Amino acid sequence: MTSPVGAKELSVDAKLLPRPARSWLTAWLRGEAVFLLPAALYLAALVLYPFIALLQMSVSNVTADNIFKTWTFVGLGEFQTVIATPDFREALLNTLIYVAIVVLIGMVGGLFAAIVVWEDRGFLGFVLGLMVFVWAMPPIVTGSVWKFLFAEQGPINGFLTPFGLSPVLWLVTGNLPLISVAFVCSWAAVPFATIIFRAALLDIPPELLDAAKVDGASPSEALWRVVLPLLRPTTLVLGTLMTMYAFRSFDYIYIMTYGGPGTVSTTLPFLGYRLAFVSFQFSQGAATAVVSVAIVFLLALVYIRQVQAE
Amino acid sequence: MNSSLRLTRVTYVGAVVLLILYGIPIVWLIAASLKTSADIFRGDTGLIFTPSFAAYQQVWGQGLVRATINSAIVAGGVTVLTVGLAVPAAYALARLRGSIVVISLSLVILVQMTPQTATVIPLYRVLGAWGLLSLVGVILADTGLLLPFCILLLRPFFLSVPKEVEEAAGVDGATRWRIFGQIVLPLAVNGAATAATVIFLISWGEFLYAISFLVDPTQYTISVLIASQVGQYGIEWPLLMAVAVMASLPILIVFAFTYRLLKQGLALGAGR
Repeated sequence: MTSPVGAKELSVDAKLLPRPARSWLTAWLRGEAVFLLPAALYLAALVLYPFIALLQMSVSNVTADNIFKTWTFVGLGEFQTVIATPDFREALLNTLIYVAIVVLIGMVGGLFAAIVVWEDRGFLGFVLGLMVFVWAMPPIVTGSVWKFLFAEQGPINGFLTPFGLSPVLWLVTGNLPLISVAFVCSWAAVPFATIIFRAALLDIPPELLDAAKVDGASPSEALWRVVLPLLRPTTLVLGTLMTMYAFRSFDYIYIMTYGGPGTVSTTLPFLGYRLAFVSFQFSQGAATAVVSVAIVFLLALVYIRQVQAE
Repeated sequence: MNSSLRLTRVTYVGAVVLLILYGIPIVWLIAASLKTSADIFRGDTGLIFTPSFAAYQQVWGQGLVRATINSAIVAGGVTVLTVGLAVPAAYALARLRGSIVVISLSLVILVQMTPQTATVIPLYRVLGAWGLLSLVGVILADTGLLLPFCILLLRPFFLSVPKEVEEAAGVDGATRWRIFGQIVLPLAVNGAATAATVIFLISWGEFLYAISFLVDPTQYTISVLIASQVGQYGIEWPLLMAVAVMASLPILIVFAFTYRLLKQGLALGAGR
């Protein structure tokens, strides 16, 4: 293990402090590490400690009656109860569909938009600005607007009816609610993906594109053979960020469908919320949440492996 | 520039598609807020109508002012607390070497990836036990949520401050605190401004913690007020949209002043 404080810094420290450092700990605390302390203590109190409480809750019997009292240990029973329910399996499948739609539309849309606003002058600059503004708007606001646009008598159906099409119940019929919410979630994610892809596009040396042109490549050939391969590392990082973003999605589901009708648009994280704060089965909610966290950490592991392999 | 890829016509068609996809929801947000409930009930959702400010007058008396103040308290508190804690931490993680950095960064990334729906459940118990199911609790919880993100966003800015500047000051006898306060901090002001902007925008509209921890309606933030307009007996669309417009105005103001920072800072933060 290398020393956390480099030799150079120690010599600087020795000038600052006449007394020699008594132990590695004091030396360590006199270095930069002390600047870590406030954030570390804060995260220990408001993230680590609650996380331990979550694990404890998932193996106890906690309902609205005893959430603020002492809990009794019941083992892994709540996990078995939750996983055996049809709701859980449906939520798991819904999550898969939801994440797939959001990542696909988010990435493809982001790449498309980034190419469109590559040079952000005039009208193109305005479009990019509009998209970033939409990204900055609270999800509850944009979710409400789309709920209105999708309403039975809303503008989208108002646009369809003059063409002789019957109104579509976007947030009610069959599997449409899940797909509609996933669409809105990806619509909101595209601007972020656009900024990231655009930064990567601007990093491409212009000589490379000029060379492709000199070699007689058409614009679409240059795109496929020169630009896209160069975007590979960005795509990997962004793909991971997008997967996490889609997986943890909450606001759009809450405001647009509340996971319904029934559990048609309930994803796994949303199911955990509903079990805890609607059914007041806190332990079942906690068990579902622990499964969610396990899935996210597993994805992270796969991602880190992939990055290391690259 | 990217002359070989200048697909002018295709580019402009694409830009118009994007303009429709992102402009139309905003247009209807404003339009619906200027209609009356009777208009909407009749199925009149078109864009040609006589505007009415009735919805705004009504929500003004229904806690809109209070909710706006509450959101400002939350966003302001979270921004100050988060950036205040993240700046020293990001500085340390940019300067330290060895396993402590690897371990800290891994933990920070893991914390950042934990879904908020998982943290809200135990935080309800923890904050409740501390008597903090209030705006203070929301500020504390939001800070825990955004601190890892803020540290990751700020670290590149400190990495770009040359170490030699600090070492020279150290030789001149400046203490570590003076070096940090008078030399490093001013050089990282741009990064801190970007981080503060993003944190403000996210915490202004934060919803999950607010709807779960705020039990007193006088403490509702504006995102909770919006959700509370979606009742069991149908939705008063003009009222909902009027609150939504008012919730977006501060975003527009902050956005107008910080667009350039946002565009560059976000790309840098995600490029880690």
